[in-house]
Amino acid sequence: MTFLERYLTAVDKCYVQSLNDSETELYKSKYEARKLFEELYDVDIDDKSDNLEKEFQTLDLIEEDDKKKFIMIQSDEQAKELSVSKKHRYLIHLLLDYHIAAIYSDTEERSEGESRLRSILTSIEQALYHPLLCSLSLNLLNQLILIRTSFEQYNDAIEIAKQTEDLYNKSLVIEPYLLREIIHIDTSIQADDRRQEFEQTYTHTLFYLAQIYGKLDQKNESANYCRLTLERQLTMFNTNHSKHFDPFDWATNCATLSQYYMTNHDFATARHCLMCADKMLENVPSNHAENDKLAERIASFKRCWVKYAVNLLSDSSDRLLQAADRDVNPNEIVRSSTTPQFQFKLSLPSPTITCSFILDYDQARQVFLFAMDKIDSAKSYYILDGFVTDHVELCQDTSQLYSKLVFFESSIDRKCKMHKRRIDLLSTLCGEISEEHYLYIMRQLLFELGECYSMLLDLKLEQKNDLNSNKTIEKISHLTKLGISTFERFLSTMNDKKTKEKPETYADEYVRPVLLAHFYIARFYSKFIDSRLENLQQSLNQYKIIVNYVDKHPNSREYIEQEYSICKEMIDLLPLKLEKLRQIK
Amino acid sequence: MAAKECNIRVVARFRPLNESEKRAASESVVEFPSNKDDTIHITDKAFIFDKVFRPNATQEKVYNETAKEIVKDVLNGYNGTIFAYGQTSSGKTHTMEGVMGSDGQQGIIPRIVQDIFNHMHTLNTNLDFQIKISYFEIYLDKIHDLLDVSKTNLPVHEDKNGVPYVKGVTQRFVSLPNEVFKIMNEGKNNRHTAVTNMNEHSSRSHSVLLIYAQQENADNGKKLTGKLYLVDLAGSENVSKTGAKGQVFDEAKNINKSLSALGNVISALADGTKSHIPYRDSKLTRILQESLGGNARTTIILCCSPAIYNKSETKSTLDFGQRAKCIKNRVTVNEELTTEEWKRRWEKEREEVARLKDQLSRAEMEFERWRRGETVTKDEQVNLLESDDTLPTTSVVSTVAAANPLGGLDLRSSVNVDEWEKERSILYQQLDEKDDEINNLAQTIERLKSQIVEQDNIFSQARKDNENLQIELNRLQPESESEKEEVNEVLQPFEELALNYDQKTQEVETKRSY
Repeated sequence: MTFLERYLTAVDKCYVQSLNDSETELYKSKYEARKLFEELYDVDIDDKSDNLEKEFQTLDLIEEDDKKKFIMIQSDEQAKELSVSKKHRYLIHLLLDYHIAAIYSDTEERSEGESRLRSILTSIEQALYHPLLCSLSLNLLNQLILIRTSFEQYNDAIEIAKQTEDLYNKSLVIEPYLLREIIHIDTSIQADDRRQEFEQTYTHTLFYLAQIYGKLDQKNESANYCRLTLERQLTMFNTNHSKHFDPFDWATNCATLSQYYMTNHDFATARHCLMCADKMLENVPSNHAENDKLAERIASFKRCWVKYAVNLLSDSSDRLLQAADRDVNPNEIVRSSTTPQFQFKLSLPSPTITCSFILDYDQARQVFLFAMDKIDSAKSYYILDGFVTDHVELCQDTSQLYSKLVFFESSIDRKCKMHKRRIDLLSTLCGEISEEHYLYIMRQLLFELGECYSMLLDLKLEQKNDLNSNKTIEKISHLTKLGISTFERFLSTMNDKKTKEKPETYADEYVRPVLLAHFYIARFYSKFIDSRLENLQQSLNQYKIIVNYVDKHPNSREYIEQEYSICKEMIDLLPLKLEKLRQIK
Repeated sequence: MAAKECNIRVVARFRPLNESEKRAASESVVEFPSNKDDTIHITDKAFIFDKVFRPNATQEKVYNETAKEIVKDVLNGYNGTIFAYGQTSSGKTHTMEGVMGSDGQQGIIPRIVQDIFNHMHTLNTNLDFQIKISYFEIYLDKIHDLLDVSKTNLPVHEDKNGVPYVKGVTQRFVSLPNEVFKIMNEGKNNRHTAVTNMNEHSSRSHSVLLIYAQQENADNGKKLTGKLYLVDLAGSENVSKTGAKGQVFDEAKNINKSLSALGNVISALADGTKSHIPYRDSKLTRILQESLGGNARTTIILCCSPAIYNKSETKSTLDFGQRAKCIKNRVTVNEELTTEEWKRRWEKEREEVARLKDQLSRAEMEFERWRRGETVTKDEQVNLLESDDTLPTTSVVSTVAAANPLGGLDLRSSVNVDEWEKERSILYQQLDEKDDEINNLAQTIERLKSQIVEQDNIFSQARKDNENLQIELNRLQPESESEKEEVNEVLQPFEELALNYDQKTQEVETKRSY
């Protein structure tokens, strides 16, 4: 075996075979590879190619502070070290050093690995950008980033990444050789292929940065590096090196990224990402190995659009409310941006939905209809029986869309109708799915349904002043009853499955919903028009339940601070009122 | 955090130092406070769980205090789940499986199976008891059947009336405890052969052993099905692990491996409650829906090494357990009302309260006066029944009897809201009007602009014409000059001729006169 062959065998063992080591001998191949690399130190190599000769003309080996170091020289300058094979051999040693150091850090001896890597770095740091050293430098810096990150030294890692960025930028004017070409320059390799490998290594640097910023909770930075990673993948795709590119994954990641920008109120960028995701799916052959996956993903992206619409409407109404509160122009709260922060290189059709904040009912209606269309087609994939969670979520989104649309509607009558739609939708679902097996979903649905009743009731009470007809009064009484029974059903889902009894203590995430349900029930009771005395008594009881619970569980008070003080006051005052009502009787 | 408030029981088990650690004279980094069996100290940080098992805890003790209760529930038709979590060589396999067939050393799974079979034998003969086993693993959100390698991407079917289940997963009947272990071994072998990257695979795949215990009463046909999930949880990934596995080497050609985690990084960015993350629906959560909270019995067993060498892994295992202890269900109740809206309603209630308070204090004052022996005339008495002061006091009783005493309040507060709403709609209207105005102005500007452009065009056209004419003129002028000259030239002979003629005529005249 030649030196190169032996080297490649070691590399294969180290990075390919090691992936299949068993759990009990996790690092078996790594240790074997280390041995193979170590054996190579003693092998004498004398490769005399013109290319190598030429490259070493610009590289000198000097001794500084008792350490051999490579430095760059001009080709017409006289090198201190004249022997190419000496320089070559030392560089190969550094390459072996590098692999061994990497194995140390991969086998949980990161400190040892790091000090070895840093020692290599001292030897090459004055010649990082030399074509022969470029790949080694980049890989080495990447490895250091990983080690620093594993020690949670994120800022150190970012510093190293800056060095890497610098290295990358300077490398753009040269042609970096592959790592293994340190041993033997392979003239059969195309310049493009070399460049591509180098680019991919650098893509990883950016990907690491995305993760580091993620760990630092700097989401914007993290998102930006994710975007850069995607952009580089796309460039590879566009330049036809599609072997490393999966349009399916890319589209999914891009759609996911849109959800970040969307929740960050940047709808222009979110829209751009989603459109790119849709567009990229067209590149997935319809006879994709897993055909169902494609159908699923298409439906899934539609759900991303639905969330886009819900968030756009919701952000728009928040913005208008804030503007009204502060008596300023909505643009002073936040201005619509119509240009995305970046543009992926894909040719897109013209958008079918706005990315500006909504100002009036007509605009809101456009967004609503757009989303309803997406919901309908997504539902044909996510049918109820078989995809309960997904289907229900689509129905909840529908309900949300209506509730957001209500904001932009001024007619009480039509507002009522919209809430009625929500009620129909949610109550049908509650009747269809098994409470036992979809407990969480059921709780969500019941709570939202109860809230719908409460809102509809408030609207009807407003109307009552105008109409004051018996029919409205009857309706109010009916709604009140339904609202109470819905919240009571919600509360009963909390009961112990076996004993059917109310729990003494609710889980943290349920304290607020549960106490709010009581609060809602209290409010409903106070709205009854007949049997005032009995109903007010019921209302009082509900307030007492809340206060008692909070008094028994002082920790829960933070969840319901404001409502709690109201309850307390109501408990003081309602008896007074009740007393007087009794007197009248 | 009180244990009661959480749905999930979390226990930690520490294995003893192993031989090689002892040889290496590794120290134990953990301290067990002598008076508490639920606390562990590791480098000055205290972790509290439902229970902490020390290295000397027997297999039997661990089983009795973590799993036995769950088994009872499962036999009564409920569902239960036991998760095992911990780094490699932390004693996970020992805890879950142990030494099969050894009374003292066997782990949780054999004990569970034994218990179920023991229970079967105590039952009435009219009860038909069946035990079935499924064994599958979840890797990259795909479910692979470990008992039939041809089933590689099984869907989770969510039946609207029933339990979510893995559609098409192999179920094997077992009638003897030994068979369970045989099936498990078969599955493990399948797992090893089917996989191309064992190392990455085992750190990222969850394996699930599912035991169905079904009993049917032969007399009344009543069925009771309990399910017990035994889940071997994959460790959490971190950048170094992922990186190390897929580190870039052009020679290695496995570059995509690490970038395949990009999706995870991106989906961690978005706010989960408001967004939809494509295909991140965690199959594990769906299958375990019932087990992750509410009424189900769920226990997480954290397996840890006490060696200083494993300190960071042990810490991260314990951190995981701490987080899991207060795990928030994926599905929680969303509140519709924003704080703003609540505030509005709250104001409403508050107004009512304030009014009532006012009445109360007036009543108190009156009461004081009565106490002091004063007489308070009827007119001076506080009317607690009617809050609307505008109504005459004399009609109070009848009004109240006829209508709702709170009605007045509600009316008033809703009027406030009305006003607020009205104001808002006026603001909107104004906004709309301004918008329109701007629109109109913009349109006018557009129109004027286009007119200017038009005029400009005309002007420049005219100028061009003018220029052309000028050029023409310039060209024509010399021409006309020359023509003029020509004409002159032509005219001259005529003039001369005419002059001559005149002269001749004169001459003729003169001659005639002579």
